[in-house]
Amino acid sequence: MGTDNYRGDPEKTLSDLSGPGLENAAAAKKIAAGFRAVELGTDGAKDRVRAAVAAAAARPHSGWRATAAGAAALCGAAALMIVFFTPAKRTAPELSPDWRSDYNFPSYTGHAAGDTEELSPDWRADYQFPGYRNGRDTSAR
Amino acid sequence: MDFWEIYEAFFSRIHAYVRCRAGSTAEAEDITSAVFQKALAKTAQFDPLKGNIAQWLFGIARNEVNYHFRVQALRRFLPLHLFENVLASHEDPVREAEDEGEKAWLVKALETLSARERDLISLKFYSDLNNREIAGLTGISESNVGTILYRCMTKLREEITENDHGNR
Repeated sequence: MGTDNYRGDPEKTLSDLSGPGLENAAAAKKIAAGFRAVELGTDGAKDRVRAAVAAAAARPHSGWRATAAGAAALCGAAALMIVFFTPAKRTAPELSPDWRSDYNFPSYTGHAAGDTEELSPDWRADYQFPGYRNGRDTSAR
Repeated sequence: MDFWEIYEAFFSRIHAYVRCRAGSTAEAEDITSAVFQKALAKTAQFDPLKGNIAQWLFGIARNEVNYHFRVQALRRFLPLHLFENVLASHEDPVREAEDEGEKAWLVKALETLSARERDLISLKFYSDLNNREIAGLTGISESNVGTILYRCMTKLREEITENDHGNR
């Protein structure tokens, strides 16, 4: 396989791009000569790059499997650290089965015992329902 | 298809293309090395139905040069003392001194072009792809490729004229 398989005539290409006229053709020729000079001055680099590419090819490279295995190991270690280093939740203090009687609800004990002696049997007549006695609410009139 | 045959056939063109776009010969060599390492790793993935070898290789080269520029841009924002060793390894006065004559003139003239113009004119000369193939590679429309190339030649011609007047 030769280089010429893919090469036309770059100098002619540049000449076409420059437009007609002798001056343009001369300029295109000079520009093409510049490009060619850059291309030709690569002999030392060719061997150095070849050596670098060959060395890289000989080096065992880690494929996606190695990368995936590394990532999985890291994730596993992170999960273990979360499990081991997260502080344990505090357990709630033990409560008596009848804990409501001790606090929060001071009257709970009395009510629970059916302590309703302070109320008259007809307690609704005293408030909230002024018209309770005759069955009519006359307060609004 | 043997990789080393491809290397022999395309090395000088790929290296010259990279040299025209990168800042120095040392950088061009590093980037070219990266291009062929990628090509070697992906030889099996090359599909002749999608394009010829020149398109494939110059596509890899374009990506590598663009990646190189991105890394350079990133370095500007990072503390440079962290990269002292890396930067020092790129300094090679012997290789830098290789630039002279026609080569140095063209590289200087190319510096007057924008990055895109430099990319297109170098591709046009070294890859020998037609405007449609270059358009496919760069994502620019075919007519735009033609316009930019014409503009490049005008600028380079002006550089030659100035250069000639300066030498007289």
